[in-house]
Amino acid sequence: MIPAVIVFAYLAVVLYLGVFAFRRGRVSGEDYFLANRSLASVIFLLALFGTNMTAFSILGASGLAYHRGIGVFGMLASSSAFVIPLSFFFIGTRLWAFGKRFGHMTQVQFLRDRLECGHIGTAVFALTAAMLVPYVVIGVMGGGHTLEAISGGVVPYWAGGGLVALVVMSYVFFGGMRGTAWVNTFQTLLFLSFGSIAFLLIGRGVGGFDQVIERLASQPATASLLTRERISMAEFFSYAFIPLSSVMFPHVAIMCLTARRAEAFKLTVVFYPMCILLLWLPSVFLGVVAADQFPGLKPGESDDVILRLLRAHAGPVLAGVLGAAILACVMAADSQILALGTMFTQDVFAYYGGRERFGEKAQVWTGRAFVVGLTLVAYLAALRLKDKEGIFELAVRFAFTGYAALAPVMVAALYWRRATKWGALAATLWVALAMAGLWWLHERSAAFAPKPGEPPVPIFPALGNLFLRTPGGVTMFGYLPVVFLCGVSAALMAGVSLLTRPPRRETIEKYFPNRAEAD
Amino acid sequence: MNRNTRATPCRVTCRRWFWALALVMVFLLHQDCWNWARVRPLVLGVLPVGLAYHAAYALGCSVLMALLVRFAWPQNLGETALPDRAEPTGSSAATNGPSTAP
Repeated sequence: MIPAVIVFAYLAVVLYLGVFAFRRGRVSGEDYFLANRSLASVIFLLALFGTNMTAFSILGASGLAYHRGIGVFGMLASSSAFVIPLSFFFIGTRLWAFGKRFGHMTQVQFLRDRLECGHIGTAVFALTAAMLVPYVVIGVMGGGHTLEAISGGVVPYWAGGGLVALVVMSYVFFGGMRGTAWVNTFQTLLFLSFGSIAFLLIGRGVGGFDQVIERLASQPATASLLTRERISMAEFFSYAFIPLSSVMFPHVAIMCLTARRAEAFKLTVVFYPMCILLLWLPSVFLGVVAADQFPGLKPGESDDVILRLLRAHAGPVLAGVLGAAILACVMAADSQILALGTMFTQDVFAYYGGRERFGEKAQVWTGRAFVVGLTLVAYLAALRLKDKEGIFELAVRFAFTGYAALAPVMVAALYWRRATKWGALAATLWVALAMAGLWWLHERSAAFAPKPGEPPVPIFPALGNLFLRTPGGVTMFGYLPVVFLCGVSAALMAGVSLLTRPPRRETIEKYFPNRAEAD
Repeated sequence: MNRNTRATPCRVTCRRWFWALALVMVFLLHQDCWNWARVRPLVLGVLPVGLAYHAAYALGCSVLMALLVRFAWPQNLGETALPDRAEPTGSSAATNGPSTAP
């Protein structure tokens, strides 16, 4: 029970930080939703990293490594260490600059203005919001699983998930972006500080990692966990596209708008890969170590292997502190909930006249009401979906793939004068239809999906290997659908833009002043 | 002094191609098929070579990003090029409602 008490104390600290610690007198819309665009470099880095790291980063990754080995690090983490900082460099900075100059608070506002079309904004809002909701649910599920595991079952899943949802909702409700950013900063520091302690303690507890690795290497059944033989090259390559989703996630894009100056991005771009290394390397490595310590777990059971290792090899007090650190990562649903609230109030409420009719105060309260409603829905969904899907699969298959496929729209809008609303609409509709098609294929092939270790099964034998069903989901010629979604999305954005009328000259001069003069 | 203001268009183009090529090379280094089935050597006695390679790769990405920030930081992001807007949030066309739609 001691670890659970420490975790409750941690939740109280988080609540205090989020609600009271950095509260300002009067809360304006820009202050509530964007912390007045005032985050300095270090806070910006830590908050952005904390926002991006979620339940799946640690629980899902270690659970996946338990089954598929060390290749999970290269597949998910080192590819992110390359792509995510680049996306901040090329997309985040420019989005920030336009946001600061023209007052955008969401990426939808930028797209509406840059592409001279309200409908594209509405389409992107609907699609991105729909894809973010499952992500919020995962956060609540992660909270429930974590508290249940830390307390040894004393706090049941439903109560743990409810408590986490309540705490997150409270500080998002009262603290807005400022409270969320500071909580994320605290959580990132906590995890990065105590994660290394956990790593060392578990290493000592298992009798030295070298002993474990030698044991795994000496047994034919587990030796492949130390290689990438359980991952195909096509899958490994495909995953390099997934981190394109990062800056397209609304909560990350909105967080990019909170920087005080462009220079705040420099620290983030340089140190982000190191933060990924510090978080993911122990997570993946401990997942493999757990295969030696707790053999025979099924995919749904393996998501809490780090917590099992902690319980087995750390004292109760330290296990509580480390459990709180893990919960810190799990609780990243805060910025997603806030982002959805921001999008609803800016892209729907304000856009359709609510702000003009009811004023700025009503806009902030609309955002808060949305936060409460969304958290409640996410909690109910988390209760209903418990044990039905692995955390990792649920997130990747829908949200990550869809957001990654929308990245060409954003890149074109930011850098290409010739990008048009029709190109963006075509690409967005393609992504929406492709996601629906993938869902249908996934459900259609569920009955004959192979078990882990079995070869892929063609979904339509007449089409050969075009659509294959693997244990993890649907692939196309063995590659994840994200590769094809991104390729077609980029082609549609470029092709349809070139075939349709270019944007008005005023718009081009507004967003590309230097190059417009050169024409 | 701004480096790009002195650069000729040709140098700017060459520089862009250099960075594009560097990024493609680093991406290709991520696909290390030669480590696929190898366990040994165990780096530091515990890290299988494939894992150690990607840990080093992540560190290398930090170095690459530092070089990008130092030598290729976008010049048009500063407050002189994009000054703080004078009007309050919500006054841009982006937030003015459906009238901006075609």
